[in-house]
Amino acid sequence: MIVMDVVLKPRYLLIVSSGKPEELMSMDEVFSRKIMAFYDGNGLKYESRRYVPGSTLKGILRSSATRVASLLGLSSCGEIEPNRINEKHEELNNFIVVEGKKVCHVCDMFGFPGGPKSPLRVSDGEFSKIYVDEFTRSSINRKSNVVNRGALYSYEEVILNSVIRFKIELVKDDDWMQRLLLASLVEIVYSGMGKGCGVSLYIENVKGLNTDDEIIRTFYELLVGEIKL
Amino acid sequence: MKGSYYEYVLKVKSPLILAKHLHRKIYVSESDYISGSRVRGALLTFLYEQGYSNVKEEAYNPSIIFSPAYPVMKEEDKPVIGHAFSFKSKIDGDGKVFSSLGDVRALKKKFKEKPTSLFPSSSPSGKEKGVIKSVLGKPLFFDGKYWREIKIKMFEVESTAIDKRMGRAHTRMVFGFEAIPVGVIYKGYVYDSKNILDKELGLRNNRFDIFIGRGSSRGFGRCEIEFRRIDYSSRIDEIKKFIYENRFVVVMAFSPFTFPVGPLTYSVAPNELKSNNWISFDGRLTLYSYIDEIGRKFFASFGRQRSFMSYSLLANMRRPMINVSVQGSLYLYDVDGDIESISNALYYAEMKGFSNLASLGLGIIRVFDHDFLWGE
Repeated sequence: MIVMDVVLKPRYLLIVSSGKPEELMSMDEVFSRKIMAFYDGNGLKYESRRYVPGSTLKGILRSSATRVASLLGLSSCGEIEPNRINEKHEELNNFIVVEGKKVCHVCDMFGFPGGPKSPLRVSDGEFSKIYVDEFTRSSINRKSNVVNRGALYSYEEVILNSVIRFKIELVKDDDWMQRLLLASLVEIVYSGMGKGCGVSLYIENVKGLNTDDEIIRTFYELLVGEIKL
Repeated sequence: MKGSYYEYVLKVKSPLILAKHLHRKIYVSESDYISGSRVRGALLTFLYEQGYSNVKEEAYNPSIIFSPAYPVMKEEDKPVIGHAFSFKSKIDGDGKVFSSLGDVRALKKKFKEKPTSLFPSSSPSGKEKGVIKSVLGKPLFFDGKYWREIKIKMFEVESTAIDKRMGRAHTRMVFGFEAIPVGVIYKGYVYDSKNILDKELGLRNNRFDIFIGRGSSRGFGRCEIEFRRIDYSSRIDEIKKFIYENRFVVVMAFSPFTFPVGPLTYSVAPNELKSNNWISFDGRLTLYSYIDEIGRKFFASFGRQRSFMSYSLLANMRRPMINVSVQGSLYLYDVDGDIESISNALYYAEMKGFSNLASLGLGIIRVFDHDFLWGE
């Protein structure tokens, strides 16, 4: 089992939005929040805390893995529509067999509808340092070059130098999975996350990586120091 | 006592999705309890990932039995649920809970002579205003003065699929999940008949993370679990004393309850609880019933039933749906035969259930020897 802590820092304005709580209705897009419960002596009380959902982080890793898979000699169907995934898998030349079905490497690692549980677990991203600001944007009419009527939007965004930490656990030890995971992490620095936010990242507290493999070792050495553009 | 008995504490560390059905494209979660089969499955998955080789054997021949976990306010609180005669006012915002039963020994008499007093339409004491409603199976806590219902405020988590080519949300692929907030504490009990948790795995008093519910690979459902061994041996004397004094026993379902009465046939209110290869005893436990003056037969089982679904990770398929009674349901059984043996069987049924369905979190009971809601 491979376990690693990843530290991610936004290099620009990061927005990861979700449904907004009632008290923030005045804002058009708010940063994703989760509810924390605690007992205050009378009953349960609740407060919200900003975070980056594990599903967002895993989704970013998956998109990234789709882009780098072919460079590592692995396959990716690139499909997300559940009805079409099976068709795409049938067309593959480079595949692995899971429960008697052809499956691409990315789907095997990240999971696919109707398939077995994904061996990759990504935790929620928690802020160990957070700086938040509110921004207002508008859209410009291309013909008249003036602001579109009513097109004034407000956003809550996390600004640079904030620090997000999350944990990745890979239950299987296959070398190709380790390569794909590390390569995907490196690729995130180039493609960014959220709405075009560049990031820098590094890994710490790594357990179980096969550093005897040259490709894994190369990526690992790259990721131990902070990578940024 | 054979085996060991533990209480387990579950602390929610990331949003927990316990989906029970899909409603208007939102997965609705249950918050009142986490079923024993979910916790057992999560522990077995953890052991499998850690390389414990006997997981498949444990899956086929269960020896570790989990009761459901109910929310508690503090780690040291005991999990408590509302029974069939517990109610609260519909307009009382405080959620104060009261009981219409009182003395458990009087249940047989009340049921036969004045059954309507067990299901009043308003508070018998008049202290609670307005029409009342049942809190059967709902988690409760004692605030020092009154029993109150624990209500967990859920929040909605939304997720969407990103189109890999366009780099934006894919049309029609927005999913909503009801999630249990971080920080909620659940508590339940576990019976380990082969002492595996302590001797082989060294999990006693250890805290570690397991994943429960939907989306565990996406960060949801991370819970910290801790097993604390408890001494339960004095309980057998309390059960024995009640049966010797009354010659009947009131059984409360501490988990959803059903009892096998034939091959693939189950009953939510069995007329007789028979000795079987899971729990054996010398004697008879017969569901109390009476026939009124116009010939109608009434059985002393109080509660509600619902359907129960579960999923086998081993077979990767859904198990057949069965009917169960809701936790908190009460049954009045007449006792006939060797009281020592029956008390012993009921003592073990509190820990490991009445049949092998206990591995799915079904049929774990409590002998209801006093009404904890009465007078408080």
